[in-house]
Amino acid sequence: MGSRHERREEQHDAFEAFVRARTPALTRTAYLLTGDAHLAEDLVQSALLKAAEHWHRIETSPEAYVRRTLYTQQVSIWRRRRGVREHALGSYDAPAASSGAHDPDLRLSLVEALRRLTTRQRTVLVLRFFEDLTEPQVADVLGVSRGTVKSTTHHALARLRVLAPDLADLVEDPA
Amino acid sequence: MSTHPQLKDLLEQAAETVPPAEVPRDTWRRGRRRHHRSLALRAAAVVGVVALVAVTPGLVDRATDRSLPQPAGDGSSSLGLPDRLHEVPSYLGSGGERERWADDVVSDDLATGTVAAAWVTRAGLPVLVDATDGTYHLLDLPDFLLTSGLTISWFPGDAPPLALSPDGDHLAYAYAWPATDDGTAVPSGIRVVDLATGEVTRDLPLEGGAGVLVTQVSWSPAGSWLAWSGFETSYWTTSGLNGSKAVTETVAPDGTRRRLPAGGSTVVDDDGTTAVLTGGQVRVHRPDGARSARRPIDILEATEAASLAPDGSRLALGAQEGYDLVTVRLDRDEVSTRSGEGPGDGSWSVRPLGWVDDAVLVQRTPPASGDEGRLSLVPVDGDRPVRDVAALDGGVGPLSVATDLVTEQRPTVSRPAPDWPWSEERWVLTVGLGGLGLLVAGGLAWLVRRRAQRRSAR
Repeated sequence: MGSRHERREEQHDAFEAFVRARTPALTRTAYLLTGDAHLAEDLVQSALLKAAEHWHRIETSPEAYVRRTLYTQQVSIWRRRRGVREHALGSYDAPAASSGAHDPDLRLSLVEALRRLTTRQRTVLVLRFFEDLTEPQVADVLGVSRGTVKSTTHHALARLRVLAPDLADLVEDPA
Repeated sequence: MSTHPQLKDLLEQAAETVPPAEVPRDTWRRGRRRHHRSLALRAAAVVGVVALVAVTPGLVDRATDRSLPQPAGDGSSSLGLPDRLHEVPSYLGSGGERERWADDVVSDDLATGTVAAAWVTRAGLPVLVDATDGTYHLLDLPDFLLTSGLTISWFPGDAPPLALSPDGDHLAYAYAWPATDDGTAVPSGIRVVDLATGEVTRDLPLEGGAGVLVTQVSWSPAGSWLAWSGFETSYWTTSGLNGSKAVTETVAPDGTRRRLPAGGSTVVDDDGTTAVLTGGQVRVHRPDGARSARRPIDILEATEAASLAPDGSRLALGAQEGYDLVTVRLDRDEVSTRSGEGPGDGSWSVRPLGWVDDAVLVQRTPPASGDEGRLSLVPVDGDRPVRDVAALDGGVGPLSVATDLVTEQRPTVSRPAPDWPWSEERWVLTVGLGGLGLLVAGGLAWLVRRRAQRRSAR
């Protein structure tokens, strides 16, 4: 009985340590995925709650589980929106405000431009270029074909170049 | 390594602007509570399913009055051949010994009514499928030849020594009673059962050697004549037998019997013309005793399974590898073949079971590799395609079909699947799991009650 209690305490401590150590990094990914700090917080909280629920299964590699949960929850958000076709509005495609080539400005421009991508385009870009997943891995996580990943990446980069002309050199399409 | 290192840097810089998410302190507790809740739900679901499984047989038994006919699948009560023939589970009559069959599912009441299909299981148990409602009758035929494990080995599975009359009202079967080892001849022969009354209406004792082992029986197209092939044995005891001389015979409606030069299988038409297959040829014997005619087949793939057209003009033969039809004319040297494609890559064969009319054959394609077989209507003339009309489970043995019940317009009918009694293993598993489920349910109830008591004590 005692050992079971100790085991529970150990698991609890490990979870708390994981939360303390990895929440900042997870929040960054969630922020890029959602483009919004509040939505990012919701996403992280919900993924950590799932991690706590399944901790007995994932305690050896919780990060992979939580990250996958972030991605799949983001996918389900975009799937829920599937009935509503996502498209760029004319005014929405106006270049994001930018005042120079220094990093802070570029950064603002990038965040603004990311926010104006569709959820699907943003998710694919973040997984490919921030999380460094390969095309097949992205396709697997999002449950789409590799061709869809490729074309979505292509369209997302093209749109970024329109929305943030200052970034054009940085977002050349590899295809 | 990122393909866009600068973009990655920018993304990282952009992401650094966001403060770390606030994670509620009770996240762990809520997560674990969810976990326990889902465990409890799963346990409850298992208990529910187990309890349902445990009580279902009782409910079904109560709901089903077995004295009433089983309902037909399409609501039709007219006679017909079911569009699927199901194999009999091996635990029903698996041993082949008489005592094993003294089970309540195996009956010695032969009054089954009209039967659409009949076969013999691998253990030698005769199975008759009711033409009215699709009920399966497992019969303890008196002295049936294949009841003895000794004789089953003589029947590799192509033709059973049992045949339904074309109208499905009579069953002809071979019998033998190898009861002694003292060298006395084994009583053997053919019996015909009237399936309406269950009475044996004809008993044809066969004499020769130490007893006659019948290997094949067939009816004439209208069911008036019988023909059979077999062996006279040189010895036949409870532990062994040996065939010494092939024999063939026809039996006229008035009981007149005619022995003929032997062959692998024999068919007869309704005026007594007999075709005997032997060694790559058909010998045609006319009833007037005129000299027999010899028709060469010259098709290596043809087998000795045969069925005579109602007008007596053509004989359909079984075939292997690449043919879905082989017919021989009895009045002249003419063999017709049609190529076919087998199911899958395995070897295949076709076996004629009877004719719907003078131009359409009912043929069986056995399973290629223990899977499903099929029954087809095969137009003999012209280019009309073969029609698959029924599916056969892999365990359906050598088959006899009441071809009068099959028409081109309504080849088969829909019937419910048989409701086989449960095996002992299934009963043990169900009762065991049911008991376990009740224990788990009791334990859960006790836990919930205890927790509630603790809370109220606080």
